[in-house]
Amino acid sequence: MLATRKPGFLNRFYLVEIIQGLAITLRNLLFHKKVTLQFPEQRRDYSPRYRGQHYIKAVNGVENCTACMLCPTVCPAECIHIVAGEREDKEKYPVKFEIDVLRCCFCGMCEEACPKDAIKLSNIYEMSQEKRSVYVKDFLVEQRGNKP
Amino acid sequence: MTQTELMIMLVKCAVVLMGLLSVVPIMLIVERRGSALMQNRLGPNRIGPFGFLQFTADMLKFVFKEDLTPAHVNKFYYILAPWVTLVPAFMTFAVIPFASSLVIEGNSVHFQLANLDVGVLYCFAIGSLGVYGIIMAGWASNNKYSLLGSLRSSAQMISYELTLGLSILGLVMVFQSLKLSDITAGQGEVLFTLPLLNWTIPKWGIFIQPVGFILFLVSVFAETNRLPFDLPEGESELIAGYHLEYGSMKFALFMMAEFVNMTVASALIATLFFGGWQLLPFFGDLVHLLGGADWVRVLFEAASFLIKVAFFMWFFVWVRWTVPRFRFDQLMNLGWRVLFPLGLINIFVTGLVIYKGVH
Amino acid sequence: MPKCTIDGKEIEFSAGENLVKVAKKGGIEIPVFCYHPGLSVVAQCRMCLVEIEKMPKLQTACSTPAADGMIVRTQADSAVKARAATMEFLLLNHPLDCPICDKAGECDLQDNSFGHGSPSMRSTEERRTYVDVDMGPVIQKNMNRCIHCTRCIRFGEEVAGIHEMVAVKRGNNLDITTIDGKQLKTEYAGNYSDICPTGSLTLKDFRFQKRAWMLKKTDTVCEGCSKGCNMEIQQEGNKVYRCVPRENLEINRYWMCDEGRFNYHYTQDPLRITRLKGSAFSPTPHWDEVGMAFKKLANGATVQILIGTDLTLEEMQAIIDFAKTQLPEAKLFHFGTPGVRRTTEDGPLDQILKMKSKTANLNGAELLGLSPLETEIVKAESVVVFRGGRAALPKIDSKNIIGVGVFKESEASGFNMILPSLAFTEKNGTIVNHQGKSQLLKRAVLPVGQCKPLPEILMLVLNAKKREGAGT
Repeated sequence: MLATRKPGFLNRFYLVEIIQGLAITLRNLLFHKKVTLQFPEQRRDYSPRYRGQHYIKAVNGVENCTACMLCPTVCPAECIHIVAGEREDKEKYPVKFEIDVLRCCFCGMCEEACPKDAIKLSNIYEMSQEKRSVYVKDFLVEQRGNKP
Repeated sequence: MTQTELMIMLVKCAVVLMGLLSVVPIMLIVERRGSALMQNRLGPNRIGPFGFLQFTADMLKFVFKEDLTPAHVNKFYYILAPWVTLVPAFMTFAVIPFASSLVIEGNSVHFQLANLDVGVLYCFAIGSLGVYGIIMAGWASNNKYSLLGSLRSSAQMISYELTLGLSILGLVMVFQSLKLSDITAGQGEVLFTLPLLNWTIPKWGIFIQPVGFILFLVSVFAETNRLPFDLPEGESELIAGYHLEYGSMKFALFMMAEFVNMTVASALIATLFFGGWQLLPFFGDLVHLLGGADWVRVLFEAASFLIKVAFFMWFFVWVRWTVPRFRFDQLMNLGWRVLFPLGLINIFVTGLVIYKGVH
Repeated sequence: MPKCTIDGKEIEFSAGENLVKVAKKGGIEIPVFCYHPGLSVVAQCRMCLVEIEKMPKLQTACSTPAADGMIVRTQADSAVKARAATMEFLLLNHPLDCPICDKAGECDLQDNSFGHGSPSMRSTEERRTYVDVDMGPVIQKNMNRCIHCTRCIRFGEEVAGIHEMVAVKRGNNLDITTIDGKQLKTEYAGNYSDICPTGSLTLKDFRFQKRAWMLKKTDTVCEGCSKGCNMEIQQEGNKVYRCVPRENLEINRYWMCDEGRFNYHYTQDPLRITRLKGSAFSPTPHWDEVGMAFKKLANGATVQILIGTDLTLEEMQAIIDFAKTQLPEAKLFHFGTPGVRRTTEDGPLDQILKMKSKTANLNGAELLGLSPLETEIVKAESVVVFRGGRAALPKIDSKNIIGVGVFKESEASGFNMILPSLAFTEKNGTIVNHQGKSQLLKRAVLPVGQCKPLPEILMLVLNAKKREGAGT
């Protein structure tokens, strides 16, 4: 049913309503708490489960990754490219570890698949860049993470 | 005209022009921060203290944006239109008195650029020229949204100019003059004194023509294309209406015109209904305290005028962020079926009262 | 035919077949480690234990021949428990390095652990570790992963013919190694990696290259010699990573020689000519120029067409047809391995798989009626060489040489024009082996560079000639 309202004679000029409205906006202007978050200085706290910028966990400057290729296997966006190699101490390690962030959908499956706790998605969410580029290994092994 | 008179005239022109131009950046920041605060946001607060220098960024952006002319427009009118909108907006201010007179070196200086006998009519005549710019912009843009916007604008202007004229007539009848200086001077008289508190109520337009004031206020909103009557722009339905195809400085000119129009409208409201440069309450005592020299008085008069204008400028912003846009049929209904008859009745009643000799 | 019942399913078998084979016929998988159909049965891993009615204890399926009326239960509680215990035992010392193990994904130990083992482990002991010996250029050894199935020892003895791997010490300290720690000598070493049920013996060539599950497999035939071993090309991203033998009991059984296994490398050699090349072309050669240039070069008074016996039957026939109409005066010869000009001269090189003819289709060339190139040096005014990539080029004494096919930079230095064509990994076709069996080559990867199929190249030349003929 259509709701109909019969405005009284005075209300037909809208004057009272407009004055009420003005009062509301003035109240908001003067007394209400402002909700804006002043970004670079104030930051929102994200949950530890937040999936942001990737990094590879490293211990004593040596990355945990053994290039087992489980992350590129599980990656639904096919954005991880690894070339495996042999280190001097005969260990398998990633010669190349690239993440094409433009393709990445931040699903976190790589993090789940990783048997060595190497690839992680940190809480960093400022990832804008001036150029189209992929995350190369040197960039990824910088410990910018906050995950245990 | 002596050389001194010419000098005084030029100085006055420069002051008025500068004043009007400086209104634009101030209104930019007032509008942006005001709207933000009303919506519980903070608004631009980065450039300068409290973001007061935001206008520099805005202006720099306008200046440095590529000034392109779309291929499908009528070039001549497309470029002309913003100027046709802007220039009348400035011209209107010429007849508005912003202080009483002062004697400098034997010359009586009136703080008004031109004291025309038909001041009120001049205001309306020049003010309605602005619509040509809008129609030219809409037509030259060769774009259906722009054209619709400009058509709405012209229809709206015609409808509300009638009410605008009628709402003033009562006031003109009371003061028996079309000169804005006479009307302002006339408002200095005392209407009556409240018996108990010993408060004097001045003969301001609002007290003798309250209905006329409301009609004038509403019509002026429509004339300046401000919300709730900004149908020519109508972002949500016409994208941006008549200035859809405009960018960079050309768009900035339209925006300046809007702010200057607002200033002029506020000045008119202040002049016609709030005593113009007549001193605000307690300002008279202050002048006395400071010795009562002529130039002090003039200074306080100008300040009174400025405060009144500033309040109405703020009122424009305030209303804009409070009231939603009218529908076009509602706009026409309001204009022709409510405001216009009310204006006629107001004149009739005013005439009756004057005839009966009540002052 | 006698019948036995496995897991309630009646399966027919022929006398002497063991239970693992019989169960496989009926679609029942009995897990094995030490058992391999190509090797002798030792029944020492105890993974294939099954319950057989009227037998007091569990029996190893690999060493038990099926008997008429035998009732076998692979899923009996006792069998399942025994297998789980075996798995636990085998995993006691197995390191958890699947992420870096090349066998992961095709590993018997992984599969059987997943199918029959337990997800948790009771042992808290340290795992044993070894220092590994160098096994030579083919095989990488990792003794830590070994489960002592001795398949490799038996392979060396029974198939490769060299007893070079042994088990030394006993029990927990058992070490599978080469005698005196020498390098492997056999030319069939790649098979060690295939038969190893764990990642204990892996290919050095494939080490850390790709994970097994990422590879896409194509069934094809080896073109290394006239044996025609069945094999599988495994590639990813248009790059071949390895070749492994396929079971074909009539030709190669389960095995393959190293030469054939690593033969594919030349197709991905950076020195392989994959662009049009030669003095007959403009600086930026294009296939449009080929017709004219070919005609100019192949226009001598004496023309010889040399057909490599590494081409497929289809390609050879196309060349013969082309020559018949376009170069009727030309003489056609086939070439392949020096010293092996006819099938009668061909024969086994060793007692296992290798053949003397190092090209796959010598038999096919003879079937098409091509005559062999008898001279050591080819002398003609114009010579056109068609070659699949493996046939040994004869010495050519000519001013106008056209090469069509797969060449390396060093081989084709004297050529006036090289038209790159497809290698065996890139084309479909038929080859005939020394037994007269025709088998299919299948395309595994897409052609690289400017390479075109040989028939297409011939059509380009043909059409260019026609167009000219119409013009004059």
